[in-house]
Amino acid sequence: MNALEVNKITKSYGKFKVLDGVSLKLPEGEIFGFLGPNGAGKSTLIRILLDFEKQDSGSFSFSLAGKKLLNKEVKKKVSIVPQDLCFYLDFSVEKNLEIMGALYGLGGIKLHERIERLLETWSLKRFRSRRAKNLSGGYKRLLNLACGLINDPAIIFLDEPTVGLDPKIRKTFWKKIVQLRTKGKTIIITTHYMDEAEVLCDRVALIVKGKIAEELSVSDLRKNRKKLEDLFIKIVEEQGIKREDI
Amino acid sequence: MKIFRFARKEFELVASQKTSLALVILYPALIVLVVALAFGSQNVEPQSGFERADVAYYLPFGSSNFDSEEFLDHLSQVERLRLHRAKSPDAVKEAIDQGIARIGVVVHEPTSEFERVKISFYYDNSAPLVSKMVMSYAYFSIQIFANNKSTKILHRIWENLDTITKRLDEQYAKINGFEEGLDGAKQRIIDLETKINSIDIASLKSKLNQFNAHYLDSKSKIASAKEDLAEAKTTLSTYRAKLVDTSLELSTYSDTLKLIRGDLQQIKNASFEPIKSQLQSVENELTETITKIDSSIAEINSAINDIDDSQQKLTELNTELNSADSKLDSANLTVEEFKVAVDDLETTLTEVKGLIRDSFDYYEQTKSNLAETKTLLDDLTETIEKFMFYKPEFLVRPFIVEENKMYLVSEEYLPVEKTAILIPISLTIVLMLTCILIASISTIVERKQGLNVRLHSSPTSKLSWVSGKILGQIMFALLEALIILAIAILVFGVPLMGSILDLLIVLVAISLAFISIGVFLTGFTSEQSTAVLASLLIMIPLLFLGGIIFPIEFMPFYVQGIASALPLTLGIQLLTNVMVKGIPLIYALDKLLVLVVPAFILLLVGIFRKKI
Ligand SMILES: Nc1ncnc2c1ncn2[C@@H]1O[C@H](COP(=O)(O)OP(=O)(O)OP(=O)(O)O)[C@@H](O)[C@H]1O
Ligand SMILES: [Mg+2]
Repeated sequence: MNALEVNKITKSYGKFKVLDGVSLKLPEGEIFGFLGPNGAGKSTLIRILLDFEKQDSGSFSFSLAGKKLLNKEVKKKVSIVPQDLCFYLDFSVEKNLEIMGALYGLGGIKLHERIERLLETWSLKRFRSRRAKNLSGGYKRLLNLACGLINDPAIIFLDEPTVGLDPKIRKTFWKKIVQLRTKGKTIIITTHYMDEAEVLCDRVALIVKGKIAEELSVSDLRKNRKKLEDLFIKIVEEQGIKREDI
Repeated sequence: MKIFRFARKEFELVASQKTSLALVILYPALIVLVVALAFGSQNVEPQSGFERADVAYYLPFGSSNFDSEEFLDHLSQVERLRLHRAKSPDAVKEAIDQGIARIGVVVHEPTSEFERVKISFYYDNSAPLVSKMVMSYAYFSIQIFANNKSTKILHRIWENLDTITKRLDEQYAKINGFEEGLDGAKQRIIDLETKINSIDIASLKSKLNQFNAHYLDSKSKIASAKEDLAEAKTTLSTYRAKLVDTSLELSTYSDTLKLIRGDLQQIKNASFEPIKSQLQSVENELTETITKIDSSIAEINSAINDIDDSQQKLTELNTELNSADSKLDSANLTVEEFKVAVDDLETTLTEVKGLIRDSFDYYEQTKSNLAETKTLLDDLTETIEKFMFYKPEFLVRPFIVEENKMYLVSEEYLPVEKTAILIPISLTIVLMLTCILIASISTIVERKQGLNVRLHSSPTSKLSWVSGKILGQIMFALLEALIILAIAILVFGVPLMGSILDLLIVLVAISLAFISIGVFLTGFTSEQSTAVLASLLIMIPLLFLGGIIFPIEFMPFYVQGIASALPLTLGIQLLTNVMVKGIPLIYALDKLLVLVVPAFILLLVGIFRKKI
């Protein structure tokens, strides 16, 4: 069963075609990787999927347990952890999480428990009263992540979540993501770290110049003893992308 | 040279900031324009800096003691005053309360037209500068009216004196006429006197004496006649006695004869024939004789009766006829003569009556003439008295003007009046600065920190999110307002004339209005600096047109309309209403609506202009 089906989405900014007929099928309960060079259109696709922007043509739909989600349900069940930091820099970590909870209509003990769990999970407990702007870059990212998970979503978009994290935290982060999958969450992740994609993802799609250049299963890749990074570079070069195009 | 390359870079950098640049260039132009509009009243006169001001008035229309129409006519010709008629003195105050008028003029009906007219001015001392200026302008106009009125009255007095002289002359002529009339009457009475004198009472007397003589003469005659009649009567009596004797004698004869006849009859009855028949014939002869004698007796008796009758009649006739006849004869004669004398008297009396009637007529005429004279004199005194009512002070100053401030009238407010008036103004300005800036800054901060992304991906609607934001901002603004109010009230002792609920509603409305402007601006700006600049762009014209720097009345007419619909203007007015004027908010609902309704439009534009 697919959690997300994308059907020939196109999007242009002026004359510049960012997405050019993207079609995808994402099985429920898997971790799916969006890979691609800078400026390929990954973030744009996510923005469209989350209704921040309107596609020029094409369609998409979310489903859970074979049931198509209505717009309202999408807002409740689908969450994004944006590439940019999205929280109040002047509020404390805990306060930020409380406000995010309020956005989802959460409150009281339930919210409190959830915040405690998130602080625990994402190693933020020590900094709960610290103002967000005074966190280190890596912890800001973790807070950003925690904010996106406040509503306990079923489908999660992670846009370059591990940028700026030290190797130790990154490892824990991976562990937590895998834990989320075991809970049946569907996760879509964009990253420039191929090792990360190899560790985490069940499937990956390579997006180049707004098109799906390749879609493959990571376990197949492993069977063939190939490295994702080599494949990435090869495909990008095949597509004739030059630095100037980005 | 490096420095020129830096200079070029700087120029390009400035030029790349398109919105800021537009504001920087447009802003001064806009300020110049606004100031020009506000101060651009074409014909500013030294005595009246204002362009047009509203005046509410109450006049005692229909009063006989004050010509309201004339007064109104004069007022309505005064330039720069826009008049609003009020139905009662209280309505004048209400007009000021509602901001329809700056000042009010109430003319109190005088108890008479000669009394100085009391005029009460009411002025909105929540805007003392304009109010006092408009008031002295109106006062000046009324002064002109008063002077005109005095002049008119003096003219009327002069005219009246003229007619008085004329009428007195006429009356003098009439009184002369009376004198002539009285002389005529005197002459006629003298004539009458001679006539009465000419009536001859002596002759009337002698005639009456004559009548008396006749009467005595007749009396003696009647007496002798009476004697004669008495004699005749006696003669008749003698004659009658003789007749009575004869009659008695005859009766005796008759009776004797009847006895004889009886005897004869007895003899007869006892005798036989021929004696009997002879006796019968003797008897018949006897009976015949008796019958003859009886009839003679009857005749004699009737003769006696006749004599009696005659005697009687004679007596009566004599007395009656004699006396009556003589009386009538002599009386008749005397009365005839007397009649003539009385006729004489009658004519004289008729003449006297005529004279009396004439005198009555003349009396009536004279009386009516005098009455006329009297009413005329009354008229004249009345006219003169009427003018006497015009006291010299009245003519010099027909109006007594009294100035009443509308608000903070009580003595205790005197020391804080100026502060009290300024608090609503400064509080509104503070709210304007605060609300516009916090609304725009906080919206942009949230947008910059990506909170709109969070909002958009959550099921919370933008409307409830923004409502919450605005509510929070209002709370913030209220807190600030409360601090200022607390200082004003507790430290400066400024009173709060209206209700706390009204104050709260007004503060919320003002905050909302300015917040909406801030939110509106964020629909068009994405940087904090631009938003602040844009806020200033809005605030400075509001300050200039809000009647703070320059009273609204001083602005050209069409600008006044715009100015009075601006949120700062409305905010100050509403807050002044509650704090200084103590007018319930109910009476300023229109202003509240003008303040709040556009706010919602601005909010909607500001909220939905940008998707995220
Ligand atoms: N509002 C916009 N107007 C014009 N071009 C835009 C706009 N937003 C994005 N783009 C362009 O669209 C392209 C795709 O951008 P996008 O952020 O989706 O790339 P990406 O794949 O996420 O890259 P990265 O890996 O660097 O995050 C880029 O070339 C970007 O310059
Ligand atoms: Mg991206």
